[in-house]
Amino acid sequence: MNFEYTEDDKKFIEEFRRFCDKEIGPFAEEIDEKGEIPRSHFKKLADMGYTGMLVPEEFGGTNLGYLKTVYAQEILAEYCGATFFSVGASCGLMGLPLLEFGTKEQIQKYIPSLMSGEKIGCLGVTEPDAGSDVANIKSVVRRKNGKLLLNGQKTYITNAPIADFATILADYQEEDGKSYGLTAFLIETNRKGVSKGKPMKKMGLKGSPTGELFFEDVEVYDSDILGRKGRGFMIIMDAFNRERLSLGAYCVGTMAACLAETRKFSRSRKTFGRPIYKHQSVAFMLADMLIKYEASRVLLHETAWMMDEYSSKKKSVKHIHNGYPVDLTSRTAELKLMASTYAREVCNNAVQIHGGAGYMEEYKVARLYRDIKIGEIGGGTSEIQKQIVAHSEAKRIK
Amino acid sequence: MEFRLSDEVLQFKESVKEFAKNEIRPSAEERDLSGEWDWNLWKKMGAMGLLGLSVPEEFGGSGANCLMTSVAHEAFAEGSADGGLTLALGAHAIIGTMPIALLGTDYQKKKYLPKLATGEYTSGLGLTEPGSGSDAAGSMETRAVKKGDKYIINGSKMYITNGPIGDLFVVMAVTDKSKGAMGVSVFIVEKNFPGFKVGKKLQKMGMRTSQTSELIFEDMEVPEENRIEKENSGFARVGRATLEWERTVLVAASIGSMQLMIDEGVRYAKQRVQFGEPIIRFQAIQDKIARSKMKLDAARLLIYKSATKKDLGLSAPIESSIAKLYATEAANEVAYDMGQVHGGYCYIHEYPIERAYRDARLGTIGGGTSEIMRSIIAANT
Repeated sequence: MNFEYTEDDKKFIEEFRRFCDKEIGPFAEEIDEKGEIPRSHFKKLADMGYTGMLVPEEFGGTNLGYLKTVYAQEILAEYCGATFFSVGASCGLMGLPLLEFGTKEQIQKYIPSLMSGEKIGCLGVTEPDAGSDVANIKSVVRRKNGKLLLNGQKTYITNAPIADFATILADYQEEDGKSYGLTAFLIETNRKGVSKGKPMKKMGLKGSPTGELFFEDVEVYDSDILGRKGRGFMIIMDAFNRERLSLGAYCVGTMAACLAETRKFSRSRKTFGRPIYKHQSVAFMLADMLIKYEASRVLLHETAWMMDEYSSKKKSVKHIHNGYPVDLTSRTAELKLMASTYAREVCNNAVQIHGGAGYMEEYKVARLYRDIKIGEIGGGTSEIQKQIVAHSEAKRIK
Repeated sequence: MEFRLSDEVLQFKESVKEFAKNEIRPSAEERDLSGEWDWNLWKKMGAMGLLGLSVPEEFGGSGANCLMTSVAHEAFAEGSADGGLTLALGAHAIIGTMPIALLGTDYQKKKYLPKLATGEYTSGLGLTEPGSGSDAAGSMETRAVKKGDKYIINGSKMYITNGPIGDLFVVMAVTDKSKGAMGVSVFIVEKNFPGFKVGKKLQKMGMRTSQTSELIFEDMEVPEENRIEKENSGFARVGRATLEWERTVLVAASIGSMQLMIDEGVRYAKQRVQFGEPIIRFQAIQDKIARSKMKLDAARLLIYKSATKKDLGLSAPIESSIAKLYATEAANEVAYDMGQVHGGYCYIHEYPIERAYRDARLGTIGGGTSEIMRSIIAANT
């Protein structure tokens, strides 16, 4: 057991923080106001190596693993949640499953431009009638007169309005109606029949564009299938473990930002003749913020470490970690459940301590408060995470 | 960062859990009801090496570090389902013994540690008083006055775990009232010192298998060589060094207890059928299980983190306070939720959850209340 950063980690963290401080932080407010992320953000983060941390060396990445990746994710989230989500949707949600399940041709076609930030990707799972209940997806790819045609609609898709590429989950049906089940397709969004809705207006993460994708007789090919026919659900579930891990990092980073802002404010703001942090009710709110941050952070780091340790190993083998069976699906669910619940509470305390100022957009905590709500919804609601954890516990106890 | 416990620690954890399950748990319910102390069990714990685990080897202990000791207390609590006896173990092995092991003179170490390590002597800590709890130093009334090569101590100590059964207590007393917390000294007190008295046994809500009482000192004579560290350095040195161990190892017991409560809750929820299906299929029950499990995992890591920092030779005042606060509050929440899962059975003695629910309540009070922990943490945010 060792909870300390290595010297190498410290250097890495310091360097990445310096980068974010200069290149990301100063633009966060403007991004939120305009509802748009500069394309240069994608490129800068790529040049900095952020997008390649989980990419194998043979494809131009640095393959540094999950633990080091979450160190960087925490920092990026601290500076700009919208950038975190857009880059994550492009390189993480679309890029990483592609690297894992894609053919050589598919990887060559998409990965270099995605990971360099020249092109932007997204992942299309959610539909108007299918959110938590993924199996209810209605988008369909049907063979008709020898052609494979995609029809349907996706919604709440991060990056949809600006995406060049998309991974789309749809039911695969043969001409006779025989279904292979959910299958993932890789497409360019400039294909005939693909159209984009207007960017949706959101409560938070305004800088990260979200929208709909519509498909009308879009021709797709067997060579567009990611992995195998009917294996789409499995690929997405695999991607969910990673998504929940990075959402955990996002929440932890947001809590760090809340703490930093609130520390500062509570020392400068005076009431009844003293800085407000000296009042017990404020002091205790600050303590609760730190406790929730530390609890989530330590769980985040162990979970990332477990992903490094166990996710690439044979899935059929039952791994044991410190005496307990390893269930990464449940562990990442647990992490997201905790971090998103606590982060929402921490943001609330931050605004409360700021008082009237906290309600003003001029203060960073107002944005953090709006942004953080996504933690309990995106990547599977808290209600879904609870089901996952409870099922895993039921399995563990004989 | 690296999150693997060594094989040595894991094997020890398993053996302690098994031992506690086989030797301690069968009589826990009965002892909880009667409040009786069983020396036979204490001897077995000594033979198992638990009573002197963190005492250096040269003085008859196993020289275990803070992490190993924490894991052992976690395992003991889980296996035994006996919060009280785990508390008695912590009072003896950590707060009654570690001040001597960490800061005692050679004479004190040679004289006392071998007896404490085997369990020949049982110990405890005397800090709290009837009128002094959270404000331990500021409100302390017990006085030690130097007279020749002796100190004469007058006063009393309250809520002392192992009070009725202890042979030796580490006692804090004011030696210079004008200096506040910097005027407190620490003494090793034996029960046969003239003027030492034990008050009557206190009846508690939980932790009933541990023995608690007041200690009364009437012109009690303590030889000067029994003072730990310099005069007036009690709070600054002994307090701090020991409290971090306390807020890590003693709190590790709540992790074991949470694991036990969750395991029992899940097992019960799988068996209990209502509305035609096992209640674990209801989302309301799943909610309680999931939230409990997440708190357990985070609490465990916070304690291991605090222990690991201590083992690096670093001070961990904030880490140990966070661990203490989070784990003990989580244990109460888990007790409540797993109790709710058990329904009516949570209210009946026969089920371990009933005892665990009462035992958990002490966590946020003893060893520094949650409010004191928040004050310490807030001062450092």
